[in-house]
Amino acid sequence: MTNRFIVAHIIPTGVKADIGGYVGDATPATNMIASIADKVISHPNVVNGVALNLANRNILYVEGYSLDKFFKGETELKEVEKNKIGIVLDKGIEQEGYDLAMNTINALRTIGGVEIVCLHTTEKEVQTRAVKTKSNSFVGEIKHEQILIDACNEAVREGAQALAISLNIRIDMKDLKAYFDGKGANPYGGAEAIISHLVSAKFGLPAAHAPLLSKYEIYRETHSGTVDPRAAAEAIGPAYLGSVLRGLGRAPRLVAHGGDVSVRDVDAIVLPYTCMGGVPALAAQKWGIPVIAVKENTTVMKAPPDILQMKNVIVAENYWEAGGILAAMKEGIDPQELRRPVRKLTIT
Amino acid sequence: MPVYIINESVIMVISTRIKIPRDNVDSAQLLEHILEYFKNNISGEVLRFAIVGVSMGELVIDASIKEKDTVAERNTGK
Repeated sequence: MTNRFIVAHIIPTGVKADIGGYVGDATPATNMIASIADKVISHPNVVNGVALNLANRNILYVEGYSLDKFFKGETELKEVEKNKIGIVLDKGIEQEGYDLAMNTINALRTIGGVEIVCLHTTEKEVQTRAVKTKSNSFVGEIKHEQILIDACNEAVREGAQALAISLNIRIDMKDLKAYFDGKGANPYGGAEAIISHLVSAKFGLPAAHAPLLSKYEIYRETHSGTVDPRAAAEAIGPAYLGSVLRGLGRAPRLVAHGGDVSVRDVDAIVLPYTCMGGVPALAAQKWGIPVIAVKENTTVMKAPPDILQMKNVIVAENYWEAGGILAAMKEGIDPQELRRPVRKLTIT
Repeated sequence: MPVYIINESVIMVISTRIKIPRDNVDSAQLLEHILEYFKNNISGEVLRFAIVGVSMGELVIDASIKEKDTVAERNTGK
């Protein structure tokens, strides 16, 4: 189909994005885009708000590895009414962590109607840790990847069409405090991205990760005082699986051909101005997709469009401007014609 | 008692620098160049990467790589 206006909204995980660097705090911006576009392709980091996932129904929830494949032209998205979800929990934390996870899962079943096909724990602790890079972003390392894959295999054998993973990620509590104070990137984010990338790469299914907290971490998160407003959803109760199950319940499946949305259908990509160094932004030019770079959404990355010689970028000062640019594009209006002075044409 | 770990692998993080091949290379060509570099220089599978900056004509890249755990392999069979 070609007569739909489709926008991708991407905010990389763990890069201290001013909007979207916390938990689901890019949801209002994404829903604003979704009010203009017919479909918005986005990813868990953008709309996962701990227990809350308030993304509009026309937002397609696609994990980052699959998003990269999509923009390389290697996969398409097939929309579904529902996915049966398999859940994999890490081994090795105290009972309080499992109680919180189980209550979250049951709440999503009884209130959200989410279908859970199975629930497994890994054979032993996967041992995942957050790693801070020189650029002050967070990434992750996983020690026992095969233990995770084995548990996921079991869930797939039992009929899972999407995989929710919840591992304990070791972080430095100083990083958590800096994050809650609005002074550091989300320490869980980068490791979470790697976990879901790994699972998506292996199984080709929708996947997302929610941190599984130890008893101490639950205490720390819920006794941190009044935190940065963008992290408030964590401080009121770290039921992270809630947003993940909500997102995966309707996440599009990944198909080689015959999907409802392919990269050729995408009309624009919205990204933070300093985050042009990932696959979607770099691949956009190949597919003729304009990139809207939002300046106000600052990050710790240093990859703006000019240093990467990008020719297909429209700079927006903020999401207000991005919304106006998208509205013009949807209407078939060249956004430049809304500015003055009018660009002069010359006969060559 | 020895610990036997078979087919174990680890996910690790690397930071690397890749020379920009020439002037006026566009972003699509840069992506091809990076993917080619990974294919020829990284033994593991690249799960995630991003250009985090540009310095002195080089792309500064953080990447998460799935690698065989050589420590685990050394332990295997001992």
